[in-house]
Amino acid sequence: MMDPNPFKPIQEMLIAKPVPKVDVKEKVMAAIMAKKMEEKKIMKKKIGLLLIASMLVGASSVWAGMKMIELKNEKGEVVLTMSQYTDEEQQKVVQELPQEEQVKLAAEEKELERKSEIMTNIMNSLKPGTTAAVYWVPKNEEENKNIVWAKHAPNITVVSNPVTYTSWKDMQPVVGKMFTLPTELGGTFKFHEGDVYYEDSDKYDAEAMKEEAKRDKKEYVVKEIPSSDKFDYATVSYRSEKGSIRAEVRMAEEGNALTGTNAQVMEKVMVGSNEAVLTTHKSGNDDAFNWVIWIKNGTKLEYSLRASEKVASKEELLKLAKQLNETK
Amino acid sequence: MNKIEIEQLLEEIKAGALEQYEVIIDHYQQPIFTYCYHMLGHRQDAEDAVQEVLFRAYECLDQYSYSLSFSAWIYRIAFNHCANVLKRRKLSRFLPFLFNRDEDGRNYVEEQIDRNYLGEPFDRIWKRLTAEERTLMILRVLEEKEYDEIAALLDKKPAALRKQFERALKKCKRYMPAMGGMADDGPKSV
Repeated sequence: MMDPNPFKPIQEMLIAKPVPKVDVKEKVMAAIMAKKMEEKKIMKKKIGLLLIASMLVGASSVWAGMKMIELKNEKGEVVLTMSQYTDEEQQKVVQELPQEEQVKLAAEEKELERKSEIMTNIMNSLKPGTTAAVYWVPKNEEENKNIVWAKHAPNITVVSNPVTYTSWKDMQPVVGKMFTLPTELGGTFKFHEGDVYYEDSDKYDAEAMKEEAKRDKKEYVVKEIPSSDKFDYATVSYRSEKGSIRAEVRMAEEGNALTGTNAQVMEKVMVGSNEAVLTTHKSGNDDAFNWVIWIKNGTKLEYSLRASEKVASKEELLKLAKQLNETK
Repeated sequence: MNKIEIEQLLEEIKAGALEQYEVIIDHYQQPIFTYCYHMLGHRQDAEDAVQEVLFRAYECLDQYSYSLSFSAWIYRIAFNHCANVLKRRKLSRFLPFLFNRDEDGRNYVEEQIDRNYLGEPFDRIWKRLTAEERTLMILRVLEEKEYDEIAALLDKKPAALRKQFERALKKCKRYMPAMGGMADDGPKSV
């Protein structure tokens, strides 16, 4: 006869062992809340470092997880991802932080602005075409250990003063093999002046600069260093009676270029047969300005064109972008 | 709580109502603890496990797609967690130098666990079952779940599980005289 319950002995033994009562609700909820606070702290760190990040690494990873637009090339490959994180959204995150964190963050931002001003003065004091490395003594060694320095040795920033060209004829010998820029846009905007920037040079001795800062008790140490000859980007302003518009051409990141924007509006548009992203920025009482960015099909060059809405409407800007894209 | 009520709660939690997760914890903590307790045979380990499972379930809630019942999904997390704990314990037997032991090299913690849990002779059987076999035993024998439900959480076919269960019973028989002959008869009613 078939056993009606063949696993009875096991069942009896399992049942025989009483299972204690458990209540882990508080611990689990506390762990979830702690994780959420940790995420907020990371977010705070990201915001705090935003200025430095955009200065050093072109604002890339700090934008992870925000609203995004992907641009594809003619082969359907994603070549650029633009993430959006508006000033309002950033502000909201800041407002949710505890009061003491907000105070600390405001102080950090003020400090960054002060340093940014010093950096601008250093850059302006350089002769055109020259470069300097700046070593900043970290205020807090412990916190400093947590910062990932993407491009340079820790606490080093590199600045260059570019060579400025006042006509395409002068600029062409420098960048003409890579791309061509028009001498005018839309018939009314004329080439005004263009700057060529090179990748940051790494010909500095970070240890020596650190030593000098320590020895002379300086806040920062500046050293002129040889410039790099690797093209990074060119920026040109075109002028008309209405005002100026700015075009930029830069080496695109390999593969999918990740970039971020704090624009209020971000939309995908077409520049000729190129997918492009158009962003609209507005702050305070200033006029809104539009910025269109695309990777030119068949190249590894990232183009952009931007102008105040008073100077060129969105439609006009896209027409000018098409002309810029088609210039050979 | 029925399926619709649970899904409604999950939607609210996903939309930001964190406090609703307390209802989910209240509903699942004891069954998951029971499962982990039988799987691991150790109260503290089981308590750590249930915390970890409920925490991880919340963290991964966005990945939960409703194609599986939430109950099966959370048991799957529990199974994976317990399987990892058991794997680590097994490893500690073979790689003693990697784990904490007493001066004479014996892992007293591991030796205590199963003995205190069920005692002889069940200890001999339980130690020899894999994580999947233990899960089958707990869910089928103790919780009397249907094969379809167990299949969903182990991601296997019900028929394959039925076979596996039969094999596990045979394995038990080998180490437990009280079950003599049962598995050989073919437990068709299982």
